[in-house]
Amino acid sequence: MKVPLGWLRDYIDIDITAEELADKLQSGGIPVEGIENRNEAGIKGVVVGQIVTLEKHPNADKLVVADVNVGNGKIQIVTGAMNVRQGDKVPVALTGSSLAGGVRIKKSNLRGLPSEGMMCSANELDLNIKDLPQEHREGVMVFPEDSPIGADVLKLLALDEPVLVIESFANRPDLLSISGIAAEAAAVLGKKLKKPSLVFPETDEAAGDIVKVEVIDKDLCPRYAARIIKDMVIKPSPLWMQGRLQAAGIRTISNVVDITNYVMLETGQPLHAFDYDLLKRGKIIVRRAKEGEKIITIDGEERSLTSSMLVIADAKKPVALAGVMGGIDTEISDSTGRILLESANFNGANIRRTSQALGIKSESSRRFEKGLDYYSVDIASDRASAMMVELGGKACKGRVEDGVQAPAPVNIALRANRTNSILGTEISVEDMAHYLEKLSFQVKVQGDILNVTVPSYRQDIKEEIDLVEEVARLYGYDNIPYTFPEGGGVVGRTTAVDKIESLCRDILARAGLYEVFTFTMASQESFEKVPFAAQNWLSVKNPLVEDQRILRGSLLYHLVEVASRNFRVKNFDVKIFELAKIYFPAEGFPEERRILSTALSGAGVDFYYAKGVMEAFFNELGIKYKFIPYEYPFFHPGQSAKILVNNEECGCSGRLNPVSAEKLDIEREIFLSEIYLDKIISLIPRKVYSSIPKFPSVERDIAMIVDEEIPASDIDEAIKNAGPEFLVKFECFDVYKGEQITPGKKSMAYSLAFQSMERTLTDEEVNIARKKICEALESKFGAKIRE
Amino acid sequence: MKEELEKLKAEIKLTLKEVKDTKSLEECRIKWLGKKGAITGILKNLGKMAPEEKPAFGKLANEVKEHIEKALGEKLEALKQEETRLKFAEEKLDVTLPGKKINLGRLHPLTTTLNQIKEIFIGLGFEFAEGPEVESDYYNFEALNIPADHPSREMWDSFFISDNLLLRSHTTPVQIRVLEKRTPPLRVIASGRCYRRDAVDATHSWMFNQFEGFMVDRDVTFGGLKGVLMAFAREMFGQERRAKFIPSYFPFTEPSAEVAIDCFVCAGKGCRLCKGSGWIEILGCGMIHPRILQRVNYDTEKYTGFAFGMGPERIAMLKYGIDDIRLFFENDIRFLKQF
Repeated sequence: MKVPLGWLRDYIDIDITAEELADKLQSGGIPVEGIENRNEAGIKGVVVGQIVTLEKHPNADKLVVADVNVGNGKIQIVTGAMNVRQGDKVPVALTGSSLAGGVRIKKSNLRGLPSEGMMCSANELDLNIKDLPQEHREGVMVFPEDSPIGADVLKLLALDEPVLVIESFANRPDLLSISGIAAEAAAVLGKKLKKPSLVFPETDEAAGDIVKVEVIDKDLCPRYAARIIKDMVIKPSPLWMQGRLQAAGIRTISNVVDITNYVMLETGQPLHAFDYDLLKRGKIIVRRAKEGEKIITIDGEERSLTSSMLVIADAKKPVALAGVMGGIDTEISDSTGRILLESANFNGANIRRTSQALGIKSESSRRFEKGLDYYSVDIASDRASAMMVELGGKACKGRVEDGVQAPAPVNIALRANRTNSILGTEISVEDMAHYLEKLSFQVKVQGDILNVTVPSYRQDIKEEIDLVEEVARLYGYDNIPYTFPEGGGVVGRTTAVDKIESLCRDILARAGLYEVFTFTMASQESFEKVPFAAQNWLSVKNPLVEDQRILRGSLLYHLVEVASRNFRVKNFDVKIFELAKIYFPAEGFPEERRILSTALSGAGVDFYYAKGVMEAFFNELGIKYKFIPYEYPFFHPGQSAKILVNNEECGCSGRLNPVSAEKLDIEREIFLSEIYLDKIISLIPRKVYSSIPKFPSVERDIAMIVDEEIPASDIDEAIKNAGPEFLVKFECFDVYKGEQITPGKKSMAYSLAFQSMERTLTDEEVNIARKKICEALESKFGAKIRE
Repeated sequence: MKEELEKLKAEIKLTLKEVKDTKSLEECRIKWLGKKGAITGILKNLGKMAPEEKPAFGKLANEVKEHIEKALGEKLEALKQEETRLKFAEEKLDVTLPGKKINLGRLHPLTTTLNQIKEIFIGLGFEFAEGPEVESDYYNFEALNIPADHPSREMWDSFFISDNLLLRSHTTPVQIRVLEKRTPPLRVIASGRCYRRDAVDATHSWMFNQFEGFMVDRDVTFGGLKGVLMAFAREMFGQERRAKFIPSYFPFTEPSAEVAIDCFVCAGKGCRLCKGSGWIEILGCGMIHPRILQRVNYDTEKYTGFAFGMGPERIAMLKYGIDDIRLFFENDIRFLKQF
């Protein structure tokens, strides 16, 4: 909400600067986002002038010469503007004035004739073009006829006033109005609130004889009030009103529409003006729409309605979407004779549903959906009528109303003790009463209890705690003393799973990987490029863009994307991991599983590097794992492994399938692994120290030639089974195929380490053990041992 | 004999001058002092000598032997030094050349920041809890005083999976889950990913993290909330920080507040970080709305609570001077390696 300071002054005396006021409002609970200066261009010296004579320039076809009355005399202006006529009132920049863009006006000579000023366009006055009526957007602005000659245009258009920008809270529709903000300002400044007079003359003709109002669905419309205004000439509204509306960011249209907007901004109560003579049989019926009923709203869109939407209808058809937007058929136009002025109260939730369903957000719906005051209906109706009468309209007698009884005022008992025990303060009952009274609450004190009657416009105050907050903010949050809660023997800690997550992150960081955070969702198309196993993808019903549709069942696509993005900026050394959740459909809540994924690429990185990282990870956690060949669709079929722990699939590791890589325009090899963390968390053993051997270890090698097809894991298994219990370590350290090796065969070299905890091993027993292993390899795999 | 010894002495001096390595030196030693060497040869003649000459000659012979040993020792030392010098010269490196690349891995700045915040609150006696990312409308909204069609729903424009399930738009549902399962005294923190249908820009991301905390016990006051958050703010942003509590609105707390600290870059004078105001908003908080506690069957006459929530992205952006939230999720190595 934009609040021009001058407008606020109509309601309250302000004797401090805009900045000081903003500070005070802020600490009193009104969120001031900032202060706008509408004259940043430093415009000055522009007055209203009236063109007395207008003649062609004797020496130039495209220029005219005007004599302009600027109040304290006449000046001659030579101009190229072609939209002005004799008698027009226009903004005149006098000699010595400044305009937007740093333009300074000097006395000049145009084709032999002196020119003593300039007529200005909206641009030259730095006005916000989109808030202006069409005819003011180009050429010299032509002001309304009633604009006072010689007046300072800056003042008239309120360009010299600061504008407070105030954020709106979802529970405070009253803060979407000048009067509501003034009420708050009055409380924090300790000033009295001034209210504009609602008294105006009415004609003898009763409005009730002209229009009939019937509210059928009173649950959605507790109150509807119509007034009839006659003889209103539709024309631009006076400059001061245009200035204030523009300062508030509202487009000016015509006097009648401008008044409805002006009063809405002022009171928070939206109004609507119909062209009465276009309403069928002078009837207003407030009812739910018929299913499929149609209306063309003033924005020119045809809207198809449902029976949950409330409309204002005449005898035949809907003429407005209640509280949201008017219909085009009964819009005010230059030919409007009689005006029906609507001021009504609608059900907030229903307005919100309608506005969401139709995708229309208007200044009106924004206010109604928060729930408005029953009583602001007549205040706004009378205020707008008074303004129309002031501008030449004639108000017929009375408001024509239908609806329900006025709601009873809200009474709440506030316990002073309770208030202090929630806030941690020692505020006296008297002070509490005083704070609430400043906010226009009525208070009766009975001992510790304050019996509070809530002003009807404070729809947000419903129970005791709401009043506690009112007391707190008027007392000042910053005056509440800092204390520290009693300990009570509570020990701070995190969960076991959280600790394991931290450990996992640390291990991978120690292994040289960078942690990344990627988005949880992606498009279906993306996941088809790096297809993960899950078939039933969870998807979002209302994504903003396709990239936010599918909840992932694997992090691989996103890690590949990160790698690819880094490749594009020449970061070729990419070693990354992410720990996140993946999602699977399930009964009730979807299943969320923790997953840890890595992606590695760069110099020296191959399948075994990636596997090495996984091995380091599992070893560090103390978990026994196994890699077995398994073809995953997203991996290179020959470099793809399933990771088993306790014979259960707990992860996978492999090279990004070159087919996927090509689809993603990736030319580099990326090695990926995933670990299903939830499956291994319970398997992590407690760390227990095992004593460091006191006796030396004895090393032996075995070199052999075996069939190429035999996997190392089979040979490992055989060595393990054939070896003695003092075989403490063995490892394949070389594999060779090629020259000197028969095709179809491979040479493998293993290192073995023997060590006993009890004694020094003899060469003999080690040699026997080695021999046994060799024999097992020979018999099992037909290995040729090379001695 | 005597002349021979003197001659030997002179020869040694000359010879040693020419010796250039330890191998030749060893040859000299054998030649002079070995079993078949010169001194041994000379001493063999001792027997043939007159008894009165023997002591003098023996003494002289010994002197010569010692002389040789000393000369050899000195030469050896000199040769070794020379050899070392040559070796060092050979091994000389250009120490100004770059070192071998050691690639240290690292945690994401958001993890680091989350850990930091978490540690502070654990130190203040809070315990960590978690909740699901896919939440029900009840936990995400209804239980938090945000009924359907309430205008405040606009504060959390959410991604729905079904009519009832959505990606949580804040971590506040964890509050309800813990309150349902546990009893006071409660000091709980939670964090995790949250989702809102926000258009992405330098300060908005549709996925972001949140850090949440609450306390429920007897005698929990707004003053206590101020104390706890002040302790946090000082630990996080410096012990000299001042804080400002500004009234605000959240459906699930009342009274509600935003907390701003004086800018730690300019100490409140006004700079680019605090946009000239001298103050930086860091979190939202308030007293847990009694209706929330009542809904999960707490006696609100007995128990009160406070709650607070903050964005680790915002905290990290402030701490590190990061100007665009998107950097956290783009994961450019050049960004990640800075933390």
